[in-house]
Amino acid sequence: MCGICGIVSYRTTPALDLLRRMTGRLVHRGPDGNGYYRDRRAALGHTRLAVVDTVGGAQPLCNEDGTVWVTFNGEVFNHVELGVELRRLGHRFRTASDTEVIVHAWEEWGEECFSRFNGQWALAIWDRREERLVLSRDRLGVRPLYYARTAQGLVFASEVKALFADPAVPRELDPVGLDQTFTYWSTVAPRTVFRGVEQLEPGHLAVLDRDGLRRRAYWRPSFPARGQEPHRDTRENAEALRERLVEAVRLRFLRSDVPVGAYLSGGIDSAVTTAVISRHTDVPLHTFSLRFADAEFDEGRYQRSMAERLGTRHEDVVVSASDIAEVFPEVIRHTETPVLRAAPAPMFLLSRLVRDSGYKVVVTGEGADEVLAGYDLFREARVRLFWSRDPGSATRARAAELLYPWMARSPGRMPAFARTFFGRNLDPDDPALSHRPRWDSTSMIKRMLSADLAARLHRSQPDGVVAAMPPASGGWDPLSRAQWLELTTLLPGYLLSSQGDRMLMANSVEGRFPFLDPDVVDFAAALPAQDKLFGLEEKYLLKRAFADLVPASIRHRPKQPYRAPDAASFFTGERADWLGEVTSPRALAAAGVFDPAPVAGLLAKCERTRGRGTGNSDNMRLLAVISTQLVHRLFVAGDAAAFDRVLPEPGVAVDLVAEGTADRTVDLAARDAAGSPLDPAARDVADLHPTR
Amino acid sequence: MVPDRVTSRRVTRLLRDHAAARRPGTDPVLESIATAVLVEEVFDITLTDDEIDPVLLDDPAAVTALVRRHGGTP
Repeated sequence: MCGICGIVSYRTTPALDLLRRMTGRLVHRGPDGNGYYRDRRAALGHTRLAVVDTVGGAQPLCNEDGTVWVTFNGEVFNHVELGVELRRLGHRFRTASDTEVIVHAWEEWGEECFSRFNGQWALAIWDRREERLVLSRDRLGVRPLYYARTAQGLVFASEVKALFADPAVPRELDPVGLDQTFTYWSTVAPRTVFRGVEQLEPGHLAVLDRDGLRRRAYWRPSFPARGQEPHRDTRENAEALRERLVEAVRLRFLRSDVPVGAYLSGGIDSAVTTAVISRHTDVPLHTFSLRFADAEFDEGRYQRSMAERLGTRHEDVVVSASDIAEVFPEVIRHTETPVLRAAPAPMFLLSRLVRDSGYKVVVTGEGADEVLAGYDLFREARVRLFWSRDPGSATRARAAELLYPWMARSPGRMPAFARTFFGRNLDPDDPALSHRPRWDSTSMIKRMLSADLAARLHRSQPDGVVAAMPPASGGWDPLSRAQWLELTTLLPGYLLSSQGDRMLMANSVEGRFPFLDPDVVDFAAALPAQDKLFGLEEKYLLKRAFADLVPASIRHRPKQPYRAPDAASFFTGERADWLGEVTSPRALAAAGVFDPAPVAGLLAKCERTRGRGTGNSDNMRLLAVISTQLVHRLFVAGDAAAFDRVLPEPGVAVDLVAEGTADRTVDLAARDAAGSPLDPAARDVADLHPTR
Repeated sequence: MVPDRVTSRRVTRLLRDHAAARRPGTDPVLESIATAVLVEEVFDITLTDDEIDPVLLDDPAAVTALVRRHGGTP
């Protein structure tokens, strides 16, 4: 895992000092090395977390004649198989890295190469001959990729803070981006919360040349029409799922030149991944868990039982409310966007434990809930659909009592409230029937917006996630439509980003997600809905497929979503200084997002209760205020230079402009063949950089 | 038309798998509602309130008859 950045300009030569400043802001993503490439039109930067080919994989990296350069963040797990195929087709390799496979795959297959990758990536390819930049992002958005169009051209980077090194990129909040966040929990790509900053959509590539920037999808989530699913035998499906998942786990555990650990949450997803690693590899396994001081959130009992069963070397970190408050500003520095839950903060502390234990790669169970229908939201949708067939039926209304059994104030204990909450907008023809309650309750945040922002949003067009659903989705099973919405909104926008990549990379740790393997995702999408959500039994096929590896105590425990104390984290103990500063009337007025009066009321309420017993809506509203204010302070009002970090000496330093060779091609492979005592990266430097 | 025995076999297997996934201690009425959710989903039918009955929905023969009556698709 790494950090990437770059500049392309058809008017001026990209400034190397700007590129180096951008690169410096990504050093936490890649503390093991850095490098750059520059010619008259493009500059590419890279910070490296060395995981595959730790000696030879320095970047940016080029093809044989130096005409195609790549800067790459991520992994192509099937690089070995692709490398064999490409060698057979005549390509010459200088390293054993997956990065070089990308270069040759691009030469061989062009834009079609991305469909062949099994991996998680954000990358940029610069073709010097064509003066063309290609950006690409993995299918589901595991790795981030942002860009901004400027008067000079385009800047891109793994994180927004690197783009803000360029003074031409405005530092302003985007009202529509905020509107999306306060509805869907995150922005929907290509939008971000910053005006003028875009993100490449998952499963897309973008091409920039003298004709401009064009984006297109190379993959989209898709489902068969209900009743047309190709595989309808549940027993066979369980076997096929197991086969695919075992291979996905093996690829992610074994394709690394450094040790790989695993997260163990206490739920079935990570229990499956760790059990598969133990069963199918001979390597000792180190597992890591997150625990909470507050028993309401703690899953330590299940974590320990699984670790003991598998005999792993197990470590955990116990997180208290004050721990969350203490690291929260740092967390927002990494999320770069408002969050409506405190849940990313403990993930930040968990990745710190991993790093302190000497690991920099972990396998996790992320993605199983979306791909195999684990969320309560899917159960909720099925209950609402059941109810919508006769909205006046008192019997059907009682189905809501089957939801959220883990909640202290569950629908079973508060049936009247449940009927009111889940019984709204029961329109079976609504393609977003599944998501209306969540979106409606999240939108309560917007009642606190400042008059100015509310007026601007009122004038803006509603943003159409539902309108963007594929025309064929009308024939999908309702579960498939709900999965599509999750795969398009919450997964890339929040779970893989604010709670995933950002919390891992903050401590220079790479996450690998077997449930997001394309073979697993495509297979699961084609399953009949009942294999995934069997009645109201979530992740049914997964439980069935791994019944022998995961104990019944974990398979049959009611789904407990990952949560952390929200309001309680900020109001239980001593108040953090920063909290008062960012929520002061002056700070609120400066940001212009929230009306200070209702915020003051909310804060007073939390103060009074010390955050205990705070309801879902108030928790969300509080976190929206705190995190948005922090985003404003850090990224809009604050000194952007605070993100600058001094870079060590680059391992790759190729500056064709300084050398005056920007118009020539260089046959690196021919010189490699002549024999050089230096490693390939060093040869690049020695050959092309006059100062080394 | 799907033969009765095909539907019957399917229903029997479905109710058996559903029973295996059941959590002990659930209110029988709620349990029958959960079964109704499953049966409606799998066979694409809509039951009447009277048919969402614990005794009825626990009996494979009765559920098979319901599926036939409502023109369910296995």
